[in-house]
Amino acid sequence: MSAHSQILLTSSEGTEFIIDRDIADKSMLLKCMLEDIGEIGQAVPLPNVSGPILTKVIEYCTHHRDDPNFLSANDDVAAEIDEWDLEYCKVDQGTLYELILAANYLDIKPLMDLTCKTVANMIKAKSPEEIRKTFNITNDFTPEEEDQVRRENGKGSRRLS
Amino acid sequence: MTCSHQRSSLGFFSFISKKPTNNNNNTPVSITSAQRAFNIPEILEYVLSFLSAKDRHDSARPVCKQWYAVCKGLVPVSINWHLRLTPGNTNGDESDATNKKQDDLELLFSADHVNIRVDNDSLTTATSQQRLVSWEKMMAVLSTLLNECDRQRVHPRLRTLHLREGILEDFTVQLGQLPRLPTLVILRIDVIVQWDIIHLFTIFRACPHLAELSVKPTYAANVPTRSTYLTTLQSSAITTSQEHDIINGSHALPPMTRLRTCCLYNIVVTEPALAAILKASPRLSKLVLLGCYNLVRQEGQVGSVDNYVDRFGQGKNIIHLVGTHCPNLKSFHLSLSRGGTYSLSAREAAVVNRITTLNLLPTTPSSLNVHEIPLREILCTFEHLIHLRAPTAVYHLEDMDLHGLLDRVQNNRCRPTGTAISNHPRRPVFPEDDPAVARQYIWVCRGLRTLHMMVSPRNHDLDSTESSLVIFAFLTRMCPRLQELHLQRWVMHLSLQGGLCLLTRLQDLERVRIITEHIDRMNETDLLWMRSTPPSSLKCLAYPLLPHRRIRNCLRKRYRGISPRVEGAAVGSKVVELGRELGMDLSKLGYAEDVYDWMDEYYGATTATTSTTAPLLYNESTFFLPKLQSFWVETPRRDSNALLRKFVKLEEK
Repeated sequence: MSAHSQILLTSSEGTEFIIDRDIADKSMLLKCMLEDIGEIGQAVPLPNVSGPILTKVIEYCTHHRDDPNFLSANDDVAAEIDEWDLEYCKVDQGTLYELILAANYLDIKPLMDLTCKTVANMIKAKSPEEIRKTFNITNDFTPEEEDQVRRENGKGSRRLS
Repeated sequence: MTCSHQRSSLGFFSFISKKPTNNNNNTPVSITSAQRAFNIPEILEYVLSFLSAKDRHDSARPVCKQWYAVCKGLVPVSINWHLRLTPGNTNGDESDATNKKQDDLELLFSADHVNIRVDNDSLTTATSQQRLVSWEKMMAVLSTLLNECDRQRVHPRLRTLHLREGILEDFTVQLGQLPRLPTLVILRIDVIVQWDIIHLFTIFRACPHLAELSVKPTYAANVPTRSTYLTTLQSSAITTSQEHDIINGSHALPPMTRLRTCCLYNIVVTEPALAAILKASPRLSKLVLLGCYNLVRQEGQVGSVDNYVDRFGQGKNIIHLVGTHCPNLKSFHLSLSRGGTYSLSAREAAVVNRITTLNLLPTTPSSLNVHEIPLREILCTFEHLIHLRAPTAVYHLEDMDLHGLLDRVQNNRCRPTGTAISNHPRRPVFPEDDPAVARQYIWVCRGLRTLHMMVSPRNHDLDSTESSLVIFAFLTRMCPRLQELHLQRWVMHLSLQGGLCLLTRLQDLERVRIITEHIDRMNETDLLWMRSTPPSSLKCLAYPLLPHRRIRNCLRKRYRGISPRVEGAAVGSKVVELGRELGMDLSKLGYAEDVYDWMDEYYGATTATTSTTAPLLYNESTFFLPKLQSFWVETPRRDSNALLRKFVKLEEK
């Protein structure tokens, strides 16, 4: 197998993408699949990933193709996000969640870390009500349950102080 | 992407809008995107795992039932694995940890953090061969753990590794076997041997994400002075070219951007290796080099710790490197095993002046040699310094004498009565009319709380009275928040006349320790001012007057004609103006008037007082040091029994 062999991917709309093998290997899903079945010369269908999202994913993998610490880059939760990655995540929220789903499906841990960290940063320092509003989440607690949670939070706050 | 469908790719990039988006806005997103992601519990859990415990508890948990359930299950699990190794025989022990059951290893995968402590008491007395066997067993355990992680496609969560009991003895052989531990954050190694800085390269390459590295002696090794267990350098058989290959070769250090703390004990350092390590660790905030040896490697032959090249000076180059490469250093501890000189140019001082704690210590108490540490540069440039412990570092007495009084007083003493005095110091410390130079003598570390240092004159012909007065006046003006003062000087005048009483200006003072060869003219009554409570008897109240008058007369003779009021020079000098700018009254620093003022203030006496019978007004509020816990005077080479009796009597009172 040549180090520069190319792989054909098909997005959910049927758009075809040709990428280098080393870029495809950044995805554990593709890596395992290609190792298991070998390169059969046919397009690999990715029905859960749309074309635009696949483009973004490939852009990310291409940028990090020579990164030796690709798999361990985001192990440190407190680590700061790289400048390029920060710019990369400046997309609308819909795209961001699609990227999370794609990273999850394709099993690209650094991308998963990056996108989840970005979403987590959106949650930080917000009140529960603001979070509900941001993510369009319905409060399904009964008033009693809400009281209970509030009481628990009160205890926690005292403990923290 | 090297090649893609042209038509599609152009369309896709135009579809994904980059510019107008803002992740921090509160615009509700469509149900399909956010909810599709969050409906997968694993994804929600993963997102929330990046929040702090407080954010999870206060903000995320009350959002909805799903978030509540996920947050409840997100308590990080740490497993502390105490790996007990038995050196045993060299054939291996079947019951040891090497054969740890698969079930036990499975436990480790469920944890968020795994902390391993390798331990066994018998290792302290084990032979080198036994240590090697134990090390191999531990490596086998680590290897099994890592292989299993690899097989299960999970990241090893090994966070802390503490190798105790001197299991690591032959650094060259053993460290070569260390597997790559990319998740390791803290590595602690207890050693019994002296070791070479070159081994740090092996450690850092194996553990590139270390935040803390600590190499300390085992409790058995203790400190070098008391231990014969610490063995000497074993791996200095590295030539300059070999070292150069290690530092600059294909295995050069990766950037250690997460390294914050580095504590290295009994280490032999070389300048090129230390420079490479410091350069690779730009965010280092704490560096401890304990019992540090500076080695100059030689080409083609084995270097030895005894092969010091004194012309470089140990501390000088180390401080230079630290100053050049560690812009974020907050705490720096350097103790040298042999005598040497430190030096710090203005350039390095400017780089490392964010330091809050600076310890420059000798390794052993017996090696209390005088070191040429540029204390003045440090104290005048390290704005954030809070703790300075450099008991063997000399601060020159003349540098405290901002008004150049010492020479004038000395001349005055030798001058026949009636002759005119010179208003100019014989050897001016700095030009009075140059504020830039004057600034180099004013300490900028206004928050200094701990100060350990030695004071010594450049010229050995200075009397103790005026020099003590200069020292105490200077310290009490420059460090108003001092809590701990350790002062070493060959002779001290510990009386009111010598200005010891000026310490009452330091209302935060808790501990005073003065080490001196000769205590000059100290009576028990001279220490009454430091009582924690005001004296009650009338006798005590009336006490100060006679000594007070005697002291005045004595100082008047000594400072004949030398007074800021008489001369009019000190009041308007650049130093005084500079002090005023910085909130310090330096107009009477070192003058007899400083003590007169103190007496007036604290004893209620005035310069006009002539009657010995008139009761004195007593200023209770500022008469004592409210936080003083200990006042310790040490005379190492003198029979201090007589002095002790005085202190005991004082204590009884």
